[in-house]
Parts: sequence; C-alpha cells; structure tokens
Amino acid sequence: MQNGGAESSFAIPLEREVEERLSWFIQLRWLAAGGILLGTWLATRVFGLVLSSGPLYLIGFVVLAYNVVFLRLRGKTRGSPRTARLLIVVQIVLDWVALLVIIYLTWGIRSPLTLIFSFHLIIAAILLSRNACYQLTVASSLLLGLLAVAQEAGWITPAPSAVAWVGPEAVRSDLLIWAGVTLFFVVTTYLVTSIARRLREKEEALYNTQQEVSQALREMESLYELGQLVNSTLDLQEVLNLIAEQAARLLNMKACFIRLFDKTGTRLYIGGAYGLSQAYLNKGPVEVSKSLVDLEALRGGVVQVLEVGDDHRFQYREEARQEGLRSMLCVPVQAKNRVLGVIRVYSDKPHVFSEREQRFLRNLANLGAVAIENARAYAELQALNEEKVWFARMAHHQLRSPLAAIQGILDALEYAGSLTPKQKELVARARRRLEDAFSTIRDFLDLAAAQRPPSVQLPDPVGLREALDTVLETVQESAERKKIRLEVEIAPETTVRAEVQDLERIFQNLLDNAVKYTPEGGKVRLTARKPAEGKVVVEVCDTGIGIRPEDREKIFEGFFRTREAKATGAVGTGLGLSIVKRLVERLGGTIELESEPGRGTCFRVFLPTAEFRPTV
Amino acid sequence: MLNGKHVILCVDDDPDILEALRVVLEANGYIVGTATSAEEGLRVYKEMKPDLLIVDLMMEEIDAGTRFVKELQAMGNKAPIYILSSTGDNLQAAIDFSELGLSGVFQKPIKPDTLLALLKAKLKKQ
Repeated sequence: MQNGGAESSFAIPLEREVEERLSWFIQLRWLAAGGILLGTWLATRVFGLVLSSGPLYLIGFVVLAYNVVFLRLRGKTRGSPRTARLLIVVQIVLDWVALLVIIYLTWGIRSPLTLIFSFHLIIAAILLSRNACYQLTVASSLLLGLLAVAQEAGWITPAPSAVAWVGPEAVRSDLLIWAGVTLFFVVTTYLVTSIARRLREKEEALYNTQQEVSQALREMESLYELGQLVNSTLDLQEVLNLIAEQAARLLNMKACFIRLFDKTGTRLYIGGAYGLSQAYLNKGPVEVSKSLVDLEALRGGVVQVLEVGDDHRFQYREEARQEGLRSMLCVPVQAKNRVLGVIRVYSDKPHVFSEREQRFLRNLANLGAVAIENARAYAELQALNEEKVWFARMAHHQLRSPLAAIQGILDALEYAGSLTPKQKELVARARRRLEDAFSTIRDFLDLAAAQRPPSVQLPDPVGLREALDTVLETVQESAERKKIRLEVEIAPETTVRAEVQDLERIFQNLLDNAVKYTPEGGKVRLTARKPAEGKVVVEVCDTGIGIRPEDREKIFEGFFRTREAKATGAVGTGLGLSIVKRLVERLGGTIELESEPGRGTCFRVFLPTAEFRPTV
Repeated sequence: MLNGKHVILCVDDDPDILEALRVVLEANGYIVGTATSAEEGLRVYKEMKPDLLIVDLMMEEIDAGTRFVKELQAMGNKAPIYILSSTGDNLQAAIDFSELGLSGVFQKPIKPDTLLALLKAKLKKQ
C-alpha cells in the first residue's frame, strides 16, 4: 500500500493516451498526405481547376517524408511522455506550415481548406488542455488573419479565386471571411473542449474507482496472506511478531508493537514487536489506567497522534523521540467477545493516517486476534496434556513401587527358608497375578504416551533393525517357551523417522499379541520389505486364533477383547492395539489387518520413511 | 571384604525392597549394609567400605540416586555401582549412565537368579 497515490492518479492514463494518440496522429497523416496528392490530381485533372499542382504535389511528398521520420521516432518516446508531448507539438507546427502553404496555393483565405484547421483544433481538444486548445485557436486565427491582411493589402497573390464557396463573390472583404472562419473556430473549440472535459471527468472518475477497487483488492490479498501466515504457526510469540512485522510492512511504517493484557487484566505487556530497539521494549508492562492512549483504544476507539514526542498522553515521550517515532496509530485487538489488547504502528516522519489505513489496521488487528486466541488455546491444551502425561508417570511410579516390593519379598521368600510344595504353588500364583498387574500398568503408561501430541521437532531417522533388537530378544524368549517359531526379515537399510521407544511399544505389543494368541508349535513372522513410495511396510503375521470380521474395528478401541481371546485364558487389558494404533498415527502412519478366524492374523503397519518430511 | 565375605551396600528408600535384597544376598554369603537415603548411604559407605553398591535411581527426589553416585565418584570410589531403575524413570530423569561410570543398570523388578549370577561374576573379576 503506497501513500499519496491520489494526487497523481490521472497522470498515468493521460501519458499513455498521449503515446497512443501519437500513433493515431501518424496514421491520420498518411491519409492527409494521400488526400493532398489525390486532391491535387482530382482538382487539376478531373475538375480542371487552375492550380499550381507542382508545389502541391511536393508538399504532399514532404508530408509523407516527415511522417516516415515520426514513425521511426515513435518507438523511442516510450516511457518518456515529455518527449512524446514535444513530438506532438513539432508535428502540429509542421502540419500547420504545410497547411498554410497549401492554403496559400489554393486561393488563400478564401480557400475551403482553411476549415482543415478545425480538425487540428478538435484533435488538440482531445489531447491537450483546454487552455492549450484555446491558445491554438488564437494562433491559427492569427495565422489566417495575417494571410487575410497580406491578401487584402495585395502583398501576396494566391491562386486566382476560380471556385465558388460560401459566396466568395458576395463577401468582398477577405477580412470578413477571416472573421467568419475565426468564429467557426472558436465555436468548434468551445464545443469540443466542453465535450472532451466531460469525457475526461468521467474517465477520471472511472480511473479512480478502478484504483480504489484494486487498492481494496490488494488490501484483501494482504489480509488473506497475513491470515495464512499467522495461522501457519501455533507458537504465540511467533504469531505476535509476525502480526507486528506484517502490520508495519503493509502500512509502510517504521515500527509496530502489540500490547496484550496480562493475567491481572490491569496491565498490558508487549507481546510482539517489529522495528523497535531492545532498550525501548524493555520498558516492561504498563498500567492500563495510566496509559491514556491504550485506554482510549481499548474503549473501542482509533487513536491517531501526529507527533508522539509532544503528546501529553504518552508516558514515554523522551524514549519515543530517541527511538525516532513520530506519528502513531493505535487500534484495539478485538477477539470475538473480549478485547485482548492494542496494536500500535509508528512512522518515522509526521504522517496523517488515512481512513483506509485505519480500516486496514483494524481489519489486521481483528485477524490477528483470531490467531492469538488459537495460539493461546493450543498452548493451554499442550500444558494440559503435559500435566496428564506427568500424572500418568507419577501414577505409574506410585503403583509400581508397592508391587515391586511385593515381588521382591515373594522372590526372597524361598531364600528365607524352604517352602512346602503347596506354599510354592501359592507363591507362583501370586507372582502370576503380579505380572498381570505390571502389564496393566505398563499399558496405561503406554496409552498416556501414545496420546501426547506429535513433537514439533521431527525425530531422527532410525534403522528399524536396531530399533527392534531388544523387543525381538524378549519376544524370542517368550516364543521359545511356547515352542513358536519366530521369523524376522527386515530389508537392509530400512529406516524410519520415529522415536525408538514408540517403535518398541508398537512392535512389542503386536508381537506379544501374536505369541499370546498363537497355539504351541505355531509361527510368528515379522517382515519389513524394501520401502516404496515413501512408506515402510512392516507386517506381523501369526498362525493364531484369528479375528472375526465383526471384531476387526473394535479391537482398536480401548478395553475390547474378542470372545476368542478371552477364551484362551491369556490375560490382557484390551488396551494394546488401541495404543498401537494411536502410536502409529502419531508417527504419521496407518495400520490395517487381514485375518482368517482359526488360521491367523496379519497386521500391516505403514510408516513414513526417513526421507519423508511432512509439509507444514 | 569382611571375614572373607564380600560387602554389598544397598541404597533404596523402600525398606521392603531393602529387606528382600538383604534376605537374598545374606542367604548367598554376602554381608549386606542398607541405607534408605543418600546421606545415610554415604555414612554407611564410609563405615563398611563396600565391595559393590546397588542404588535405587529414584529415591526421595528425582535425582537423589545420581547425586549420590556423583558424590561417591568425588570421594574416589572404586567399587562397582549398579543402578536399580523402574521403567520410565530413566525417561524422566534423562540420565547419561555412562557418564556416571556405572557398572550397569537393573530394571526393577530384578530376578534373584539374575542378580546373584551377575554379582558373582563381577566380584570374582575384582
């Protein structure tokens, strides 16, 4: 948005018009030169008029010649309206000289060709100012007047008056004819300039409207872009700085800052700023009641100050002066149902803010308010989630500690003296139940971990093989106990962008399930094929009990276990697969399954490869 | 060594865990010292001059275990130190175990067989 476009608003099209009309002039001149040549031929050969045809033909060719020169010059005036104007004047002068000679050669003031001057006047009225047009009228009249006087006085003798036009015989005096022609010129000029002026006014109005429309469009585009920009991040500080920067830039201002209410609601602190020194920003929060400018803006007003250093409403006049701040515009940052603070823009020279600028800053502030509220809501959500994760961890620790102590004591029992077989059996039962309790607690922790939002920073790429080493080791042990064959095939250099812990949780769960629900002597297989189309596909297949079609959606919901799973007698919380699904989605992947009841199940996990980078 | 037996110092703020450890270790011929806090641990350390230490990572405070280990290092401790840790603890405390010069980390709960086998191997080497 540039300031001060209005004064020179009409200059641009007129210059363009001059240039365009220059071409038009040249085109018309071809006709005129042709007209001279053809007219001379017709007058002398067809109508048999007595004229000195030689000089007339010569003039025709001269006109043709200088028109060629102008045609060559035309291209060079582009971008220089001054030269174009000069060229027009030169053309007019040359044309007039040619016309005068022709008039002289065709009966002087009594020549009907005097009226051709009026063509020039009409063109001048379109192209030049009203004054210039009248000046030309006077000039042409004077030229013809001189001719008339010279003729009347007998100083020159044009070709004999052999043709009859508007009663040349009746009007004896050449001066009288001149007077008539002059009157005709004046009337023509008056009429044409009046019409031209009206047309020009309309054109001007049209142009201004067009300017306003395109200005409004630019503003809208700026706001739209700003909207996209500030919504591209949810970091409050970043949002505020972006708004300040864009406000200053789009309004061509030196600086901008946003003051927001702090928690007390009585003070305003600088949330985001652009173009201000750290020293200036270090002023700290201001009391709303003492900051008169902010107070006025907060009450819904637009505050405009021409010279902040001289305005008593400013608390920090000296600092503002040192910072080079001169004029200021301040508007409230208004959210849906409350005022969040104010936004101020500063110029480094005295500046009166137009209504358009005020409106623009208000719109920008409203847009900013939405972004600020979004960022705040997101920060609150994150804090809540942190709290939830912290709570889950503490709960986990507090629940585990007594269980760990019980297990330690049960383990120590047989070292404290020999146990009877019945006592041993009871201790074994207690130990099994303890293990269930441990796995339930682990599931809850995993669930909490799976629910945390994806980290803003992308995790480093990890090799799938290395990431799953520990998991495969423990699964191998439990598989061996059940005489299940565990097959693992991971294509070399398969890397994914994920936290190792998340990968461990996902595949520990899937493999544990596979072993748990596969009868003795069965097979469990993990395959990771070569990545294709930016995805790594990891399959965990078993020859277990399978999942009926109607249960395939439900198993991903928390706390659901199939009838068949319960029937195996294996214990579980029904949380495992819901944890897996959340974790996979958190990593930007998907999970699907194929199963045949009684034959086995295949889970297929699609994860983005390390090369894959999500677009923000 | 005391009377030809290895001395092991266990530090944990859970007295039940300490008691269970004591039963298992004493039954296998070790002399066991226990402490339920870092300060007590340092005192008992000076008294007993243990051959090996087993320290709970999360005692009363989140970094009590690591601070205790650092103080031992400052005192010029040469005895191997094993850390006892619950799943999730290391996540929270973000500890670089190798920097502390630890001999190893046990995940709680630890099976007596595993613990005994490890102690035997470690102390034999010394």
